[in-house]
Amino acid sequence: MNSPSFRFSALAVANVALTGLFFGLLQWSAFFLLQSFFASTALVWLLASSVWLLGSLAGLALPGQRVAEPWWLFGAVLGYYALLWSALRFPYDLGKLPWLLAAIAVMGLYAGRFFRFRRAALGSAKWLFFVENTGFVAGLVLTVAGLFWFGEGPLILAPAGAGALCLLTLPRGKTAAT
Amino acid sequence: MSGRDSTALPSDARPAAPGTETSAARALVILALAGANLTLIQFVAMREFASLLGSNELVALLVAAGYFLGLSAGYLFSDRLSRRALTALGVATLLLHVTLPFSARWFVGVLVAGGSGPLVPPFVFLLTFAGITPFYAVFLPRLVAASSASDGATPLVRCYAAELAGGALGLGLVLVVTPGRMALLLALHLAGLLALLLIFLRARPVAWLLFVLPAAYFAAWPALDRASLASYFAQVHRLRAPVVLASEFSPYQRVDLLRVDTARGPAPYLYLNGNLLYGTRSLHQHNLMVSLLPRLTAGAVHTDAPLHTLVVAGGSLDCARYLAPLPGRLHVVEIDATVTRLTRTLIQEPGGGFPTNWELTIDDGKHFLGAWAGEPFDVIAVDIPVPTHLQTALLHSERFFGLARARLRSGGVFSISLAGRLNARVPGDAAARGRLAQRIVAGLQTTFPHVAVVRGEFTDFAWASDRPLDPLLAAAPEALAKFLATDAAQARDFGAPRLRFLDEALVRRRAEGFAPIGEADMQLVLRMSWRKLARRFHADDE
Repeated sequence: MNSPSFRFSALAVANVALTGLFFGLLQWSAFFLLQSFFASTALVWLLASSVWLLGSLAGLALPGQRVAEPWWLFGAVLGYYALLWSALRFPYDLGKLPWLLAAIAVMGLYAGRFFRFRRAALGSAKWLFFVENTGFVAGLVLTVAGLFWFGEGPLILAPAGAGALCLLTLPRGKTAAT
Repeated sequence: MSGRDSTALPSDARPAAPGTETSAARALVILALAGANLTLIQFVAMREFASLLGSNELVALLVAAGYFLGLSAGYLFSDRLSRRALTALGVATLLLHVTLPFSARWFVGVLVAGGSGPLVPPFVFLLTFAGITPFYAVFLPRLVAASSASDGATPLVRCYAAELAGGALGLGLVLVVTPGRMALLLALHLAGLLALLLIFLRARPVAWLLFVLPAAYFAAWPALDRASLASYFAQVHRLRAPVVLASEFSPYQRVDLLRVDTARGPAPYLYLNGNLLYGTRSLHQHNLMVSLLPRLTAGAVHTDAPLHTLVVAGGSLDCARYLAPLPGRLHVVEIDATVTRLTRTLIQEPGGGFPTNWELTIDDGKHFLGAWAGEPFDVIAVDIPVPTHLQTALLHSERFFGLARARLRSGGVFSISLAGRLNARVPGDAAARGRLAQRIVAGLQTTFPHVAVVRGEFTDFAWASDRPLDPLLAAAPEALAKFLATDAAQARDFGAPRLRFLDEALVRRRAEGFAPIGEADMQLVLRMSWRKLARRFHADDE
């Protein structure tokens, strides 16, 4: 078993933490959009949770790395904005639910894909899960804090901003996918 | 992690040594069980633990943060725990969960009764942070690391996939088991925890006899559940001799229906996730003023013409009892079927004469109105006393008001509680800036040309319409008096509120300078949540 190690760079740690934060923002913002613009029913919430989870599972299980990580990240951001667009364009129209769930599944895909790409990023699974999960909690708190201080503005800007930060800190070259 | 740990996965690269295939399967089963249990317990904790505090958005955040930070703690200490320490953590987690949720209810009651109410929120956070997730979280990095030492990085994918698959299974169980069956969910969780522990310890077959524990837990549930709830409500909510008539776990909340000794005699009290929604005189008056009076008054103005009425979130079904017999149609929309089932069978039907000529739709009010393409309504009432969740705050937003107006017939009336008094305040004053009543009225005024306020005994209510409201306001006192005179029980439940009104001009002045409630007004919700928490755990009154 790997001993606790700080061989990995600060940038790698920052990227994993930011990605956790990105997932937190993305998940909570997406669920908020569903509740606010479509329906707050338990069925919608359970279906959304299920497809996020299944998307993550699929992202993790898909073999190979022919499609580079930035594209998966871009797909997740695009999935969110497709959901936002649908929310504003078709409020309360649950006939669009299959498409909305597909958008959430695309976001979940990257949540799984990330761990396949970055499985050795911080030297051990312990640090990878710890940093990512703590980033996720920060994303959760930031979503609420953002809504507290700035109203709905963060729902429009924050996922793109966090996605851009993930992209900027993304490991390049050989270190990208060890 | 100890080198003697026997939970290592076999290598992908090398042929598995004899006996290690079992270990690999065992590790995947452990992770799947951990994933399933994490999902099950998250679902329960977000409702049960939150209801210890009286659920609101702030409490939900506290519990969610505790749950996920507990995961982080488990990851962090995953390689610091010896096998013996991990076993001790597992046994401690098991022993805690054998006593939950009863012990937590009793403990919170003891804290409040002993004058330590302010310790309740930290206790709930600590319980969620340390008592639920750390034990489950330890296994994923630990099993990945045990394999990675000889195996490269692939086990992370396999192990994490096993845990996610377990999570999906847990979600499926939640979907299938939830309605009304918290006991079964927690018994399943306990069985999963026990199985995980026994598999991890490579326990002898005789140890599997311990599975009598979840069965005994399930069997003891009804008595312990009612006793702990009765104690909790007596101590925390200061109720006299509460008797639990029903307590069910819906997909949204824990629904508790109690019989309580009051000055008016025994009365049914309805709690949703620890928040009182029905039973006191002020809540009866809320129902009267927000949904009954607008319809009674509209009937008087239109000389008993058939009217189409919609009550959003009317789960107590008082509206059905009193409005369904009136000419026209009544539509009640409630998101939680458990609430209407329990209030119907335990409050309304035992009272006798409960009407059946009304329509109930189980749906989210926003979605119902958004999708409604039928006959427009003459009256729309929103039966929510105070918005402490984003979902309920959305029913006070400018967008929802626009939706309601679009579904009202011309001359129809929209009614909503202001959750307080529309008092005169100085606009721009920092203390006044977040005032809920003013902001609700500001939203109504941007949507409806006419907004008036009806002052009840405990709180204010707004009526809004596209036509002047003077005829309605003039008819209201007589309509109310006539209603209260029909039955002595009605006068006893509702009291004899003396109506006062704020006319449209005064209402406009008092709401001037305030912003309507927006799409995601977390500031409003968190302030209301904080105020409610402070009132419950820092003062004697609820």
